[in-house]
Amino acid sequence: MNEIEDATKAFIQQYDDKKFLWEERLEVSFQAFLDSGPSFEELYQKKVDATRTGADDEDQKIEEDMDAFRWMGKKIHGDVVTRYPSLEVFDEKIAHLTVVKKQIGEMKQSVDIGWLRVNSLPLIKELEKTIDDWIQAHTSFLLNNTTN
Amino acid sequence: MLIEGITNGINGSMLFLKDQLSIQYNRANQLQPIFDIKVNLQERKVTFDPTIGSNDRENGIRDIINKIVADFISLAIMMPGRIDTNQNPAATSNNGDYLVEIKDQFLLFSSINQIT
Repeated sequence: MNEIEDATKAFIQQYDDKKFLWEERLEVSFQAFLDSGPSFEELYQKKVDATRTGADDEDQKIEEDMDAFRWMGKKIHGDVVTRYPSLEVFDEKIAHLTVVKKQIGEMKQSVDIGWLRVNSLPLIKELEKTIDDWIQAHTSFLLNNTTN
Repeated sequence: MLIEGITNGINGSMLFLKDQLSIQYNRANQLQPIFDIKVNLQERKVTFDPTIGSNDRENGIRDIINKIVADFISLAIMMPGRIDTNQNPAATSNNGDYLVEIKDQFLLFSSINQIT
């Protein structure tokens, strides 16, 4: 019995790279993904920094510019800081989830571990449903928040 | 002699079961699986249904194997009465079977350990 217990533990480990699908909550993980992106202020700062010419009074002008941006941002958003990852980061994440979905679809539904037949179909169906929800969350966010 | 015979009978069944529960033996002889279990996702964990180990419902694979082993040993109570009850009055306390003696057989201890 110890032999089969070890073998089944090893069998379960094949799903380890997909365990985020059952260990993490979609809403929490998706929010963490959004929060990993830069804020509007950080994006604006980057844009302003890119226009630096090296003039003597540049630092002061940029600081005034940023103060104006902060003031405007506070008027519009209040204390809410909005962060979105770039489209490239979204694209990378969706591509990764699509690869995981493909891997789940290719999983064997039935595996014999010696004298024990393991039917993985219930797990595979559950994972397929979960990965679809994850992909949907990312793509629908882009659809609802992207303008031409 | 009777105890030895019953012990050998039980041990024969145990050794057969031990082979059936060996992954190597199963593969070498291309045998079909004996049990069919499902992998489920329950309460954010990947679980087997039924479980591999024992569980509260006593339907785990280990529970089933333990029941089979217990059934093998129950051969000791299948004998329709001890033949030594007249010479050995103490044997009547064993309900007229050989279970106590059989459970003390080292040969069976070894086989049970190999299975479970």
